[in-house]
Amino acid sequence: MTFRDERVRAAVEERFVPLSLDLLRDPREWLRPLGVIWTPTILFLDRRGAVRYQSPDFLPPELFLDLLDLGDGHVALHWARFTEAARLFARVATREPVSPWAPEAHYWWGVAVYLATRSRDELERVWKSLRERFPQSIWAARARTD
Amino acid sequence: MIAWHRSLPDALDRAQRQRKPVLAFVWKDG
Repeated sequence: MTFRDERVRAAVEERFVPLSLDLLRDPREWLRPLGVIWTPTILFLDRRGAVRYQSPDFLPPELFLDLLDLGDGHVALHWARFTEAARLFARVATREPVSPWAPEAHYWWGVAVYLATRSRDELERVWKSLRERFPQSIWAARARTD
Repeated sequence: MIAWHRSLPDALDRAQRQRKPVLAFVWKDG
């Protein structure tokens, strides 16, 4: 269902190279390095084939579109494209209505902002808002600069 | 429907040429 959604189809084809692999039938030398233990799993690989983010199972289209930003953001983060990563994470963190992905996106937004600026003040600014908006989340528990 | 690649090497080759990440959907038939 998710992949039949027109917004999902357009976003996947525009922003990614889509690859479908069968865990049992495709070559082991392709699959073993990916470390998949559950199907379906969505993986985000950089263009050298390194896994930069993964998400198990299907998601409804709205949440899958957020996942695309998160996955794309993690690839950007690992390729030192910190400003682009911050933009992608911020989009998920601040969208309305609030996304279930927002606390996680907010955390990584802070990381990307810090790596882009090397400013502890900038990191604290983003993480402070994470702690205020989502105080019970595991991501707020991690977001301590003291 | 999405035009999926079915080969990891082909997908990585295209990803390098187009400077895009790969979105891999790993599933199991049956």
